[in-house]
Amino acid sequence: MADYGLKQAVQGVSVFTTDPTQVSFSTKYNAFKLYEITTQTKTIPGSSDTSYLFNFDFDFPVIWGFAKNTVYDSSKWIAISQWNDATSLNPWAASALLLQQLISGQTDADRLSITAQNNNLASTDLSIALAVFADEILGSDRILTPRADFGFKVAKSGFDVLGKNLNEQIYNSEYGTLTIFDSGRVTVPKSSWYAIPHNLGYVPIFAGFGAGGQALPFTSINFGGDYRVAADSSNLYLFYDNSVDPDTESEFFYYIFTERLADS
Amino acid sequence: MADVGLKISKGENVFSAFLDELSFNSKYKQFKFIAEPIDDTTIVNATGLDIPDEYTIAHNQGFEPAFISFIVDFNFVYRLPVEYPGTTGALDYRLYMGSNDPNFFDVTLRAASSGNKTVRTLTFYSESERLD
Repeated sequence: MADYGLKQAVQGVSVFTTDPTQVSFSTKYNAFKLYEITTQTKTIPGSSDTSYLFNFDFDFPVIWGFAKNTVYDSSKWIAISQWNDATSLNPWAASALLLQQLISGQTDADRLSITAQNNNLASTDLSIALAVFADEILGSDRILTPRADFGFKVAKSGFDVLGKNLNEQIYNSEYGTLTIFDSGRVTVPKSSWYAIPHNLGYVPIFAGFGAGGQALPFTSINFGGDYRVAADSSNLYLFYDNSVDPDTESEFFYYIFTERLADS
Repeated sequence: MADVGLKISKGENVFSAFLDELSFNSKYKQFKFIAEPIDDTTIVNATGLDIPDEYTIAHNQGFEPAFISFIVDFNFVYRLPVEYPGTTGALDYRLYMGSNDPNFFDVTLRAASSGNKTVRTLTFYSESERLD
């Protein structure tokens, strides 16, 4: 820990704790700054591809993706990363996704191209929501016009808090951060959705990590694979399936954040 | 809500703002990452034929931290996991917690063809959020 800065411990714990897990806020660390939620909905005819193109205000943002389609389940938003499954018979093949964040030339570094593939005969409405953070994957400045003339900023160590580069800031009250409403580790039976109530009344941003029954360690969860994590305005949902895995359950670690992904 | 603590709104009245209208709320923990990602470039001598090859990236935390990872492949950046099932194997990467040592991430890739492949990953991890 640095010998300066701002720190807050969780309730009931001394703020002088050296255990990072007992710290709820610390200027030593970076909390991703939520810049925007951007959503597109398109109707994809049966057996067709449709492209989604998202433009951002800066290059290489950290992006968390979510999708919802009417063929599989019109109420759940599911976490996506990159998945291409043109041959599988699993229901998520109705909206197989290929995400590409372009870097071949600076003019493309502020765009995300998503190809959604509908392998069913029937058409489907597919919504894609992106949580776009003002934090970089690859080096580029974040010089953005301040939205408000008030608030609270904390700079990273060694940087001027009066600077305008968001990359140099740990915290800026203009932007939401991923604040943990609920988290935990659970064992999920194979092949059925496991619901964890949150009752926020809106669909929160969420994340999950899964560890399969084949003694695999934790990995992040993608779309359409063995592990799935989804949410609606009442619950978080976890799902595991692997036809060759003889085990009947899987371990998950989940996060439900207070930030809003969608109203429903 | 606790009757003590610190709340900062994004612009709404802080006394009436909903949870998602607050930029900071001391009742809850923030999901915090290290300030900069681990930027790892490894040359993998790929077996090819979709046979998995593995290597490790050290984080040296001694426990399993929450993480988010991206991979740079040719001219594109992808969030992991990247999965391209079947025999085409053009892209298939996963990043796991270290199965043998909690100080490492294990990276698995399956390449369609054999030969050296340069793999760059950028991984944010958390010192305050652990999965184990």
